[in-house]
Amino acid sequence: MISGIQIVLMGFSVVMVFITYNYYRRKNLEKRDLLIWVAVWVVLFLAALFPQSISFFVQNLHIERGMDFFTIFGFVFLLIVVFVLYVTVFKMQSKIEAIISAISQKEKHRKK
Amino acid sequence: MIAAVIPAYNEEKYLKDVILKTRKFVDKVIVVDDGSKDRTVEIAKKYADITLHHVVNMGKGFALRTGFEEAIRERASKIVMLDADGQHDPSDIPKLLRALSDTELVVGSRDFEKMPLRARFANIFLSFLFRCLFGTRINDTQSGFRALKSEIYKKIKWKSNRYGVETEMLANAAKKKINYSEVPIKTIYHEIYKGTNFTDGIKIALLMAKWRFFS
Repeated sequence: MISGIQIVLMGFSVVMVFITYNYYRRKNLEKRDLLIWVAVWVVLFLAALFPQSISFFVQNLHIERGMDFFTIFGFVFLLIVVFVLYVTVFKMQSKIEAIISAISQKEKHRKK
Repeated sequence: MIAAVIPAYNEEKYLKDVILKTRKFVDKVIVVDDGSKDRTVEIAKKYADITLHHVVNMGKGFALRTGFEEAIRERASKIVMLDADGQHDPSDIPKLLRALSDTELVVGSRDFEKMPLRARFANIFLSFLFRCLFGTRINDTQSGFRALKSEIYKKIKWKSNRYGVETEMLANAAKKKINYSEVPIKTIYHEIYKGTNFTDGIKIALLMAKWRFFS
């Protein structure tokens, strides 16, 4: 029997596949990003539909319940995403600063 | 050569007056327009010796870096920084420059009694915290009216683009053991106060801890 939380997770995965595809269609994501994110949502969908499929990890990692595995895995995944975003924003900021400095030098005005 | 760096963001009301008064005391006035949406850049081009323009607003810290680097390219030996909103009286510049002969960095210290109440608490708290963290007493860590010798710029160069640029400058100076002093300055408060408020104070306090322990 499928439990409530499984239905919520499966529904969430389907909605996220749809949203991810829409972003790709509007050219806000590249094909590679689309494939990576759709893979994430498909894995989540399958893990929710067949919770016994993660029992291998649950047993070997000595985690009490499948739900705990989801929580721990989700938290670690979010930390990785935050780290990657932090590095990306930092790099982007440095590039913006370099562009603004170059433009300000190019458009420098000296009083005659 | 003495240069004045004036970062400006939407300051069409006071900028002309600030530039003209500042020119009497320095050799070159450098205005950095930080993506203003009003006539700031036109006024700067008309009255300042050099005008640099940021196409988008990057914050006071970034604008000051742009201005200081330009002043150093122009071979300025002393650099004065002041706000474009008319809060600082340029006639205090000679006082700052005189004090600079005995030290490397001079901070213009405002009279807290005349400061709006909401800003006074934040400034007193930040100065107290600065003393606790860096072991140096300075009454007004948030004053944007300063003079410094250009050779110390690399040592005190700040990373902050927005909040706390003034404090980071002093934190770097304290860590590098650079001599600095304070001189009292006149401050003119207009109807809209743009300085440090309570929320900024909290953010700067957290940044201060970061600069003390993690930089």
